[in-house]
Amino acid sequence: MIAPLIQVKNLSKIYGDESAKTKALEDASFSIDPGEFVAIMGPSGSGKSTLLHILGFLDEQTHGSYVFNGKERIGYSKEEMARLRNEKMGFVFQSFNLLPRITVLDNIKLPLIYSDVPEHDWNKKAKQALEKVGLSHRLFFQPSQLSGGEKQRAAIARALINEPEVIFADEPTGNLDSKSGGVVMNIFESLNREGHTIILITHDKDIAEHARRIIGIKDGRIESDRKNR
Amino acid sequence: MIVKYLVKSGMASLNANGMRSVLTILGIVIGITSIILVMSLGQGAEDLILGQIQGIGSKVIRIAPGRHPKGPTDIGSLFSDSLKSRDLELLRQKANVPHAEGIMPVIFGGESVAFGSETYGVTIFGVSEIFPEVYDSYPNQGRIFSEEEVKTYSESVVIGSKVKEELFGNQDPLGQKIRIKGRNLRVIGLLEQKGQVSFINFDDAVIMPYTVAQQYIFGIKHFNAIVVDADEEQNVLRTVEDIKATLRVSHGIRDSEKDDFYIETQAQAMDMVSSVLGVLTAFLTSIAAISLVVGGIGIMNIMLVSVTERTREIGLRKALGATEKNILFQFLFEAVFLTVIGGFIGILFGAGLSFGASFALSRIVSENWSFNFPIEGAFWGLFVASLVGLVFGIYPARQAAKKNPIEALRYE
Repeated sequence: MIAPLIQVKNLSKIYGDESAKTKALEDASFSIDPGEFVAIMGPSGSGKSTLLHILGFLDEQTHGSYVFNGKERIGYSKEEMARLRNEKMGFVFQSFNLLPRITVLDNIKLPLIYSDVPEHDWNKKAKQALEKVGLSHRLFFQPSQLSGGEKQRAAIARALINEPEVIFADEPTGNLDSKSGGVVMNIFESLNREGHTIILITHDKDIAEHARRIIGIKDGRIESDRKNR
Repeated sequence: MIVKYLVKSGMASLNANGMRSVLTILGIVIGITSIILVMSLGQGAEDLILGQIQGIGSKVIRIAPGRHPKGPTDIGSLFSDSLKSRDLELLRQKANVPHAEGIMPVIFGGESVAFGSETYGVTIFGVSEIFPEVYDSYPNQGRIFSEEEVKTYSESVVIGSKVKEELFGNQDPLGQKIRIKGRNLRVIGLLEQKGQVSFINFDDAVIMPYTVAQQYIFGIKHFNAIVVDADEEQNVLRTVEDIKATLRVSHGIRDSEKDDFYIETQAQAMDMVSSVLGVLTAFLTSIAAISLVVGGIGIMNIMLVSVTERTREIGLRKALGATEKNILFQFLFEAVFLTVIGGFIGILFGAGLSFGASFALSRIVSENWSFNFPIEGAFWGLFVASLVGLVFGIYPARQAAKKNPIEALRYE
């Protein structure tokens, strides 16, 4: 049996103080193995983004335990978390978050600036990542010259560049039309077949159907957890 | 982190806000420009004045009567007639002052000179035959009086170029007689035009034997100064001591505090001018430096705006693995980048303006004014500019580094 990549137990996130508490997440427990393709699905305000941020070390839980790669979250220093975000995790956001005014190629190289990868490998890695998302012809374009679908594919290439173990995608198709959304989802499926763990959050049932496991979340509580396909 | 990519992203943000960046660094540009300008012109003034003093030669020692002025109340001091012929004779004895090559008494004062119906106010210099060597001023027509003529009270004078122009116009002055205090003096020489040399302008002077000046013009027995020319530059200090010893014996002085004469060397005069101009330049430079502080505050202000505008970028970079240190470094680098660019532009402007100013001054003040580019000042300027970037960039950079990635990513 393989060790789980992610293991959460009674995870809660509470905003505010005693007088005005908001429970964004309550008692969430599940584990995700390497190589899984999981969709966390729920309506807006259900706490799915909070959950993803905690899993991606961008936010901190108030209660419960989160074990990543065999080690409890509180055991990691800020620098170690930055390093894990850089090497083991990739992020894809709903609004792409490409930096304007620098080329697609430079955008994709951004995570490498913070890594130990020697500079002479950067172009090679960036081109490989762009090939995987089918954007090799847009190397020297500015983000503003790309279509929405192309922007998201560039963002996926950026997430891929350090060959992370897990890719976190936050509503990756939320700003796309259904056709480019479909292209993006196909990319995630093929990345998963190559062995990347994908954790995706969405409110869209059709998008969630691309995953092999769907965790349903509502009002901060996990309501369902089922295999798909 | 690789500096190349920092430069790239710094340039991108500069380009994105072109006009804003230009205005931001303007304070630094103006500050560095004025520092370079002040330093360059200060150096030019120092070179010019030192050049004039050096015109007299660094071996010249000047003995003046009276106590060395120590403060404003000492001016017009006592013993102003303390230098007498006896002193001159003692100083001339090789045994007393072995390294004196030439010794010349000096009498001076203002008088008016007449020729025909023209009169003109001049400075009279009563000197000896070694005058041309001591002051590096030679007659370009005629000659200087001889040793014999000095001894025999010969009423012969050498006149400055301005005096000639005022009294004689286009006439030839040689052999003509000019009138001073009712005495007729024969013009035997005409000095070359030199302008101001070490605060003395011989163009406006009438040069005559000191014996004549003492006896017939001013009616005094003492000298206003004695100038000693040392044989070698390295013997100047020794000669100064020899002169002091000789004069103390001559005047019966035991305590050096009670000296009734004082001695100035060219080296001292040059040191004094250097230090006065140095203080003046430093003072003006520090005023110019205030604009750097103002410029620095401008940089801080705009960096804070930039940090807020780029909140999402900061969040993204953190999500992609940037540590707080990485973010801090990036924004600090951008601030320093801005100020160093400002520094470079300031140095170029400063050099251009000082060149222009030097050109103008060489026309107006003196043709000996030369352009100096303060290389040291340029290095300091760049150093200070980057320091301003560091000091005023650290606060905004810390603000950026401390941003919570989630808040940052949510920021619209």
